[in-house]
Amino acid sequence: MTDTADTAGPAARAEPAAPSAPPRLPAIGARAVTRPGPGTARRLAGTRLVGIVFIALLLGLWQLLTATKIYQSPNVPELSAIFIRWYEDVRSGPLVSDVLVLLRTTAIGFALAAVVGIVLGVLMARIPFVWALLEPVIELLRPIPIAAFIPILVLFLGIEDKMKIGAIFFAGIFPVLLNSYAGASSVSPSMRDTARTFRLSWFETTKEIVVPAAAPLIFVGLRISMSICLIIAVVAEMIAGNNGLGYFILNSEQMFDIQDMYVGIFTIALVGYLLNFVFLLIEKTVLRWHYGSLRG
Amino acid sequence: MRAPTADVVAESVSKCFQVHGRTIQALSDVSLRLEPGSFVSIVGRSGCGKSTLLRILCGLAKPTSGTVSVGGQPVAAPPRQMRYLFQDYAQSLLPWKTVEANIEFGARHPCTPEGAAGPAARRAVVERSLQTIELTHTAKRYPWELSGGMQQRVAIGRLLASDPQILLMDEPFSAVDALSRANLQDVVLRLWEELRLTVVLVTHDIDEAVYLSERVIVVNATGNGIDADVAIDLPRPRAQVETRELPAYLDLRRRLLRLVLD
Repeated sequence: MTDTADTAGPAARAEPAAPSAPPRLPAIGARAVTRPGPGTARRLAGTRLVGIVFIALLLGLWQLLTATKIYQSPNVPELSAIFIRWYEDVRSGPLVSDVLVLLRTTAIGFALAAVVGIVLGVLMARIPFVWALLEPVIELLRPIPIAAFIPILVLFLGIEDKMKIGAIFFAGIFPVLLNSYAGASSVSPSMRDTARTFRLSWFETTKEIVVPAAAPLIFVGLRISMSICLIIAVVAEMIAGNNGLGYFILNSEQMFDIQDMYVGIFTIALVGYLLNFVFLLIEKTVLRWHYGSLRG
Repeated sequence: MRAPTADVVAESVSKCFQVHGRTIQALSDVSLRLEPGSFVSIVGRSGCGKSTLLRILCGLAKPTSGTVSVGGQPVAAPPRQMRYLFQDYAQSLLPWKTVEANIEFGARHPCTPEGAAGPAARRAVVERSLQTIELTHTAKRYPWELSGGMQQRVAIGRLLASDPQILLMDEPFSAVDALSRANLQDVVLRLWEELRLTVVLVTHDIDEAVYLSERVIVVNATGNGIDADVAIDLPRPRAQVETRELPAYLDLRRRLLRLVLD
């Protein structure tokens, strides 16, 4: 077999992607090297760094206005005082354990929503009867705000962990379920026919073709669900129970401990950001093929 | 190498589609018999139902009437000794698997139950397939990192790893560039000769059909039966340049083009 026709393809494609490749036209390469200044600025202007600087500026403005007493309100303490309190709260007090309580209920509720949502979504796409059975129920339950469910959950599950996990589960399941269904339904006809001609069983087709093909959409659903789960976990802690970060914030506000209230809010922002960051790292690893094929 | 044993027989196969309440007759009363080990091309005008016929032959579509059998067994689902090469390789290869893992997929779903049992045997089959399609150096890459021609070679490697007797191909080379196409044609020719496969090729490219086949079947432009069944008695081995210059080749090409175009 001659290889001449094919090997040119990927080599040519790989070339512009590799910055270390020697430039074919030295004049252009040289010019790019001699003028790094504006290029670097332009490159940074498109990164997250701009947004981080923006946040720093806003926080700086907060500190400036409160420290100089230009803006004075018992509702807005000095930013530096909040940060000092934050440091103290981390060293002692209930903040750390309240964060762990929040993370624990969020994780359990999210894990349940993820597993049940993926399984039901894929089954709905794979078995017409399951779709016919569940679609009306889901579309009926989905628009009900979770807040309307909470009284029922309290009746059946009390006001402790079980109720909170139940609320997180019900709020978090729909994005995973619907995206898993959409992903599993949109497997291309050629891929389905491939499974058929290789004589894969129903279970093999589901495991080897449908679920991996649906993975990009499943991850979209998981990411939306995760942020909803965190929100509902905080709200559930505010409504019921006597620990957790949501309780910490509401309790601080009711005790007029405004600094602690802000500490709680800042902590939630940080927790949410870190969770999303970790999730994206996992997604990038699992779906490396997907992002790669989108570029290619 | 084992001898191919199964012949493919279609008897008065018809196919209707319901489109917006209207019935469209895609194929009517097509009968054919494909000898074991033969290389047969099916050509015909666009929309004549030749791809539908191929899908019916391998059980991907059900005929409205008529029967198909492979090795004497009536076809209801894709038969075990048959594999299918799709036109859109990008949608047929699994993009989440590397080249190697895609080929391993073929070895894990073999045509014979005894084929490639156990990891060591599978490993050997994958190695052999990679060598056959000359893509050992891209084993760890993903299909979407390769050119179209190379991707279709991966798809061929995946079929080989499952060790089929009958290979059906639906316009397999129409999405790749001309040079890759010539290369793929010769890959298929070589495999057909070495493995004594039965190959059924659906194509709109008359030159390709004449160059590769022992026999070219022309499906009627409206799907109403078969217009012609032409034996291609060109010498083998065939070569891209020399074969296509033979007067006999040009005669066959002219005759088939007239049949399809007129």
